[in-house]
Amino acid sequence: MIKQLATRKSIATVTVVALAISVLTMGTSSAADATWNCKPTKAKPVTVRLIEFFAGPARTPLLNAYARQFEAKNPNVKVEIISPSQADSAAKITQLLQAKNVDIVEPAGAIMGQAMSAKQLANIYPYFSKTKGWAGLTDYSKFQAELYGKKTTYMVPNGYYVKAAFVRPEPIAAGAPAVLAKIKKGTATWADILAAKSSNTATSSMYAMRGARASFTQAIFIIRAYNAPDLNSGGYWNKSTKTSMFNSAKSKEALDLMMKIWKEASPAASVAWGYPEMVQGFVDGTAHYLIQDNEVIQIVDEKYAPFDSGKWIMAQMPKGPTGYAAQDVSGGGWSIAQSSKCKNIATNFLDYITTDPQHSSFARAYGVGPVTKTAASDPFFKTGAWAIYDKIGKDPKELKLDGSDVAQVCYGEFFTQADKDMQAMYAGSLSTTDALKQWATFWDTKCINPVK
Amino acid sequence: MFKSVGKVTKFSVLAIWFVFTLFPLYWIFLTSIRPVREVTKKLYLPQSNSTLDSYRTLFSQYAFGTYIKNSFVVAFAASAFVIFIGMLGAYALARYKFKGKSQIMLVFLVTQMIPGLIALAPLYLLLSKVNLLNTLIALIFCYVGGMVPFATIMLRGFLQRIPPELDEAALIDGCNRFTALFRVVFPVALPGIAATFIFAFVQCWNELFLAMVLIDSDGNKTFPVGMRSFVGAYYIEWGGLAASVMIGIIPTVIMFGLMSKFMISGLSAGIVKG
Amino acid sequence: MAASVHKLVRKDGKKAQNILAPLWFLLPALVMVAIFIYYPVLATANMSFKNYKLFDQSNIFYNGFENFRGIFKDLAFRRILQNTVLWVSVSLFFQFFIGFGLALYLKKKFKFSGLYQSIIFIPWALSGFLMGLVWKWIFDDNLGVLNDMMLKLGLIETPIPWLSNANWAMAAVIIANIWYGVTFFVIMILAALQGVPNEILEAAELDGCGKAKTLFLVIIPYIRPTLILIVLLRIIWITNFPDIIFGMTSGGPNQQTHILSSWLVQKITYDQDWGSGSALGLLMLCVLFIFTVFYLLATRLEKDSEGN
Repeated sequence: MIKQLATRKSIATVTVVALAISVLTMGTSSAADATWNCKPTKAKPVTVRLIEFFAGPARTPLLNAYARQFEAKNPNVKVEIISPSQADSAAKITQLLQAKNVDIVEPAGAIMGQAMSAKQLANIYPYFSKTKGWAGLTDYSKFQAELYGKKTTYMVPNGYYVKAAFVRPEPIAAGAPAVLAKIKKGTATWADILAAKSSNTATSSMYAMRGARASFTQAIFIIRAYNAPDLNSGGYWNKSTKTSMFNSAKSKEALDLMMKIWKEASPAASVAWGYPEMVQGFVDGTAHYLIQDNEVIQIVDEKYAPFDSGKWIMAQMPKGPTGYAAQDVSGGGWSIAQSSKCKNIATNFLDYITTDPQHSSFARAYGVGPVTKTAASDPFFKTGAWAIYDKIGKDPKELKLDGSDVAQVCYGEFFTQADKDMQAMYAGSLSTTDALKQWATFWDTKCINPVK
Repeated sequence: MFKSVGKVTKFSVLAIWFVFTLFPLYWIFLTSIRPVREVTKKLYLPQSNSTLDSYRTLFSQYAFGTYIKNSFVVAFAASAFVIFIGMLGAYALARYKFKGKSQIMLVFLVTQMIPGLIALAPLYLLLSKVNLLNTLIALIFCYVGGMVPFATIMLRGFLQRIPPELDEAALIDGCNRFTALFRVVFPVALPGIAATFIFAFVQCWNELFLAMVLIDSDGNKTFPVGMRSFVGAYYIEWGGLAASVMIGIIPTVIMFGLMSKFMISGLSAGIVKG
Repeated sequence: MAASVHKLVRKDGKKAQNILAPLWFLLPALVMVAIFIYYPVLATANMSFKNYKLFDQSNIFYNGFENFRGIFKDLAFRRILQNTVLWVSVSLFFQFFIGFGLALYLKKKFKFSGLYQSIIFIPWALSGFLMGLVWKWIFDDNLGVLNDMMLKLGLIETPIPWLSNANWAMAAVIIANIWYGVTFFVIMILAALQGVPNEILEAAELDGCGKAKTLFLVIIPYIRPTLILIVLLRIIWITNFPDIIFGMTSGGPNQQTHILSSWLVQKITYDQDWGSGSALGLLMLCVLFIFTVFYLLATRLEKDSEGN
């Protein structure tokens, strides 16, 4: 653990150097900055605009309610919640940041890296660290908030997304009972997933593959499992060789297995599946085994069957040959736009929604792992389908990566390129060897190597 | 005998197309009344457990009342402007001979070839400069700009069908060109105008990409942008989507119902006779 | 017509005003078009010569023709080009002939023809993107009602991989597009048919023309200018219509169902590569422009319409 923290620190330093200019210019001057001293009056009311990435009926009404409460407590302040469809939110957030027309954003996916490189986010540490919201964060959340360097905060976590397996035990028990037992114990490996193809039926298959948007994330799961524990804290580099993990022979083994799982243990249709289709595939029984984030719990519960019914169970992600698995436990959060004209008011609102009970209701309704100490001790997050995350948290063989590599600027380009490569591999027009070579070169040349 | 064979062919063709057209809509309808957990069931008739829950969601969890109102305002205003501006342009192109006319036609035609998406970024910046972002007015302006060329070309075609003697007579009767156009030509061209209006209205009603980019707040969202909320990153809410499609059909179907009277009345034929 | 225009001109007298008059009428239209169409396009043209990726905004610079080169070098380019031609030609063919046939049938009123018309016009009333989603659902390999129906009717024994096989998926999106676009032709051709003066038809009948002869020798020549124009517009629109593909397949699997315009949508919304997207948009504009010029030369639209 101490070792891990040490590497984390070293990454943080590297990233700080990389972002030196922005840190220097934003970090120190904030006190004197007029945008941190905004005073709303009746004549000059202030509107704080917040844009969500993951808008939806489970959480948007809550945010709106918080906005109204905040307005009631702060006269002459208006909070506007912008809730684009999730299919467009990445584009919309980018657009608003570029147009300097927003105060608070939820920079998920590749947006964080891109917004950091464009210097669109403000360091709110000097102001935010004095709030109740900051004081209430768990240590890990504080660590996440300071991912870009000590005493710099570009994002305040608002929830954790942890990957786990959603499993339909019935068909697997019928076709591959031995694998089901291992899945339940948390010792199933990726090879077991392939072996469970014996549970395929005429209309259903074992594994919910992702073939469309963000398909490369599947490859990352398995490649990490094969390389772990020889991974840096961000999960894209081998500590032993100090180069990107895509160079290793294990990665090739892993990716070849993934292709086999796709060909033999996944529905043919999954080549066209993105996130919603995978979930749909699990809900309607086309696939028996789905690796997804925690917010899917609510969907499966609502659209398929309640968790109590026993029709589905939760399990840990499959492991590699060494018995390890690894995943990002970074998740989303809120950031203040550098262009915001009232950063103090915007940060006050952030503080308000990061404090309990507001945050804990938010995390419960939306189904994300909580970021505050009080919410983290809420039994809700330790029972039912949620119990699995407690198990994941305690399993030393499931490495928790901090998301520092995903936050790199190069990630945005990797994301789109790797996706195309993945689909080309599915179509058979690109070999796994060539794909890995390209990815390795990309990370070794275009990204910052934190282990060197 | 011959005639009845023709009739049988005619009505079978019409029937086949009818079924093909309606089946997806029927399927959407069935989806919209299924309980949430049975949305993907393949049952071809309404079941006893049918429910209006998906419809209720539109108005309880989402602000579809507002979206519908916004779409109406935008589509009506934009279409009306388009007809007005388009009529003026079409009149000039149909009735006058002048230098540069074919070039102007070309200017209009070329607009149809422009992939709409590439204009988005500059339009966004332009509208932000005049402080019109996130307003319905901005949408109306953009829609008018986008549809005027097509409307002008269409209306010109219709106006050419109207004998020039008609407006000449009006001019002799003391009208100027403007009043001749709107008092005399306009009523005669009504079928064409109605058709153009419907096209414009429907295009506005369904326009997604511009509205997605220009509108932020929930209170200013149009119907298609609202419908897009069902396409979550995690799950496509088929029930809600289906219900909104069913609701979205209503106004346009009513419009067609009302306007088809104009389109079928054969007014132009009557004028030539008279 | 030329003569009557002269009459109009003489009636008004002052000559200078007469040259300006049509321009005054056209001014509002031209202003709107200039601001909302041509200005943005010129601004975009500039962008097409830049490395302009939204996810890396610290790295924006002029890169000459690199974006254009990138498009031609893209491995998917050939397939996308083929798809575009297929998409336009097959969709247009069926949309036009089905639309024409229905319009002829609908011209003569029958019981409930008004209602029938309103109903078959419905597809046009729906948003292309959402209909894409609806069709995606109907065509879905596992959940889709189409495979289910065909299985139950015994037409097929195993489900057709409608959306996961690139060639089937192309067929699926084109079927959806035909469904969507027939209405346009029905409405347009019906409106044009209403414009055919009854005398002409009566005269043809008196001359002993059969139905087919009347159609080909009288009706079609009469509405030819309209037909030429709507076919041209339709070709351009279908080319620029990514909505259905975007909703149904998003260009997948493996970019094999993209057409140029859906590729453009992907470049802009997903890849966030505005440079490349703008370049592609400009290329499409050029191709369509050249096509239009040839089309108009071939059909001599000007001569036709001026002659009226």
